[in-house]
Amino acid sequence: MWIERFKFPFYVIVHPFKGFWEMKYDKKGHLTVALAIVFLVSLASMFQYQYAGFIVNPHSPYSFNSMIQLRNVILPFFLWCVANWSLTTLMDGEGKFGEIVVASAYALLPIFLLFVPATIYSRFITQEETAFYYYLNGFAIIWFLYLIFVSTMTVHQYTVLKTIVTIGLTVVCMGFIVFLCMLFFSLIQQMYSVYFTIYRELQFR
Amino acid sequence: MRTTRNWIRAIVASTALTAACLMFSGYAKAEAVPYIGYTYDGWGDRVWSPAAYVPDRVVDGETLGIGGFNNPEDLFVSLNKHVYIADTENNRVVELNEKYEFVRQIGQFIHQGKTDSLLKPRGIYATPEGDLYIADTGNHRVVRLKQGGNEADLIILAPKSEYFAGDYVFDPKKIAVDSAGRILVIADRVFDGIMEFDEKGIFQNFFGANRATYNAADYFWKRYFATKAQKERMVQFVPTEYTNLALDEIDFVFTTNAERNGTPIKRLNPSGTDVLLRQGLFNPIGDVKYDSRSGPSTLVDISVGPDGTYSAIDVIRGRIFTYDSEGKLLYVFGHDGDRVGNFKTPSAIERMGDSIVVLDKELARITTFKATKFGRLVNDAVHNHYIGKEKQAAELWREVLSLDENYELAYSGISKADFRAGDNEKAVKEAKYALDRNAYSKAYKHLRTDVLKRHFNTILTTILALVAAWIAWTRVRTFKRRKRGASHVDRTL
Repeated sequence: MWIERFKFPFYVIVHPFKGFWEMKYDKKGHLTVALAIVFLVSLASMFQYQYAGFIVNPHSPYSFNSMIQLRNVILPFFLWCVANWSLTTLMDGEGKFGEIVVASAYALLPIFLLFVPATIYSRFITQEETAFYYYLNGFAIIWFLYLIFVSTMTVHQYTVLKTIVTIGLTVVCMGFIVFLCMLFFSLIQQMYSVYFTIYRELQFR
Repeated sequence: MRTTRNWIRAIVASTALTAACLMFSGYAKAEAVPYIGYTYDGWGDRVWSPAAYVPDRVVDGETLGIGGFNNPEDLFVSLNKHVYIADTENNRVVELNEKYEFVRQIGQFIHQGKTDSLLKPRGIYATPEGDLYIADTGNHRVVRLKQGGNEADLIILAPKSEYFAGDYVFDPKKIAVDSAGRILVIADRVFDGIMEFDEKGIFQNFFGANRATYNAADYFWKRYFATKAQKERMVQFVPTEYTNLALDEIDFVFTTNAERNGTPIKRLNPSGTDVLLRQGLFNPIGDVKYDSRSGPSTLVDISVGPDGTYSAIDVIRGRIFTYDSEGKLLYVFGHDGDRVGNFKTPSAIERMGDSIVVLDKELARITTFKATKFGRLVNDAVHNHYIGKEKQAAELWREVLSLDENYELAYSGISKADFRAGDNEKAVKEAKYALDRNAYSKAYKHLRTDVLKRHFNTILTTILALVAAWIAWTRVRTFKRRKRGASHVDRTL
């Protein structure tokens, strides 16, 4: 049972149209597997940040922070899911939130699959061979973008044009959510400081 | 009783010994240097290092007995090591010999039989033959005094050319003359580059113009949206002016300018193209990291040293940056302030043999700096690297490392020497310490080939063994399946 569940994402990334269809209508996707993939991708990005070969690694070891690395993958992922879900419910999308999460997570798999070997490979290259490393990474990203595109199209049963528009709007929506969160936090902080100042005033009376 | 006396004796003797040690060790008398030297590492962080130069002596007008300098703007050390100071507000030029002793001062000169005088001279240059060129700014002219005398044989007034507007006022501020007799002048409010005159004082051309810098938003706003009235009140996009110039031994012109986020140091070839090498991890721009309030370094003068090195001085923080011929930062020293060795408004930097001489306009004094052991070692290593003696350079770099373990350039130098000696493994390691990716890549390529060659048999055998094992395994599996009679099962499911 579990073996099939773990094998399914590999099937999806090479047969996206059929795969996402089966994921949606034959209920072949699994949330635990999806979350495991997201976690693995964030590990892969950390791995690449720290262990990429000296020639292609511009990062100072002093500035490595795995929390920031986690934030760079996990936060945008869930932001994407929430933004996409909020938009598509208004735009006649057929996808449920769970389906969006699972489909987007499965689309991330190529990043994990290619980042890790690229990073290992990068430790054995000279400057002339860096092109292949960048090619591998770029290919992973393009593959991922293609899968995201197909998953949005299939999960919500959209046309090509509508998918492109939705993806663009989702990115804008992500920006809005971040902005609102910042606003919310800064307001909360202000309110907190007001009440705290009043409390202090009363305390020292 | 006797033991007590012995104890007292022992204590007195040891105290005296300690005091003597402190006194003669130089520990007690070591002069405090009013700054800390530093370099930048490959991550752009400041790394403290020993000071490469320490203040040696201070020369001012009072000690020379000629009255204090007043806003001196320029300093020049000629080939015979005479020091010339353009003492601007005192309307004179002062000449000192190599021991910084007063030789003469020039306030007046004779031109075509008549006595004439200087007014606020801001630039000075002496040729190897002894001709003295003075940017006589207050009189809007350049004066040439022949062979150390005080007779002017050439006076350059505002050039007549279609390049200049009718109301153009010629305010020369810095001057240099190359071995072919070309007179190069930097003047106020000239944005087309350095003015070039021939030896007869006739204007030839501009060369090496700086580019105007502006951001895209400003450009589009001004070009397409601003009204005419707005445009007139807006600042014009004009190229930055040069702040100073210095000639190297092949008459290429090192220049500094106050350009921000650009290329404050340039090395111009005779056709005016910037040919400065910028092979360091950071371009020669002065400070790599700075607080946004005081901004990037503003370089006001540059001086050419031996082996293609050059030093530039930053007026904002009073620091002197020295680079090698490849544009790699060697050391930084100096600080603003008013203690000996500090600057308030440095206006000129020159080399006098091995020492560095800096003129401060606000403090009205000259400070000379001499190299420390660290500075000498770095200079010697750079020299050996420059003439191609990598092995000797590596020895010196090792000594540098014994004084400063964080000196990345030294690791890079040692790596190069190791690579040339064929020790690729060490070269790779040292290049990594230096964050020198080029050297690393070169050495690593050879190292990888070596390792592959050495273990060729093992690698090939392993691959063959794995292939054989895989074939055997698949055979066994099909055999077992067939035995179970599962071969007819549809495996497309």
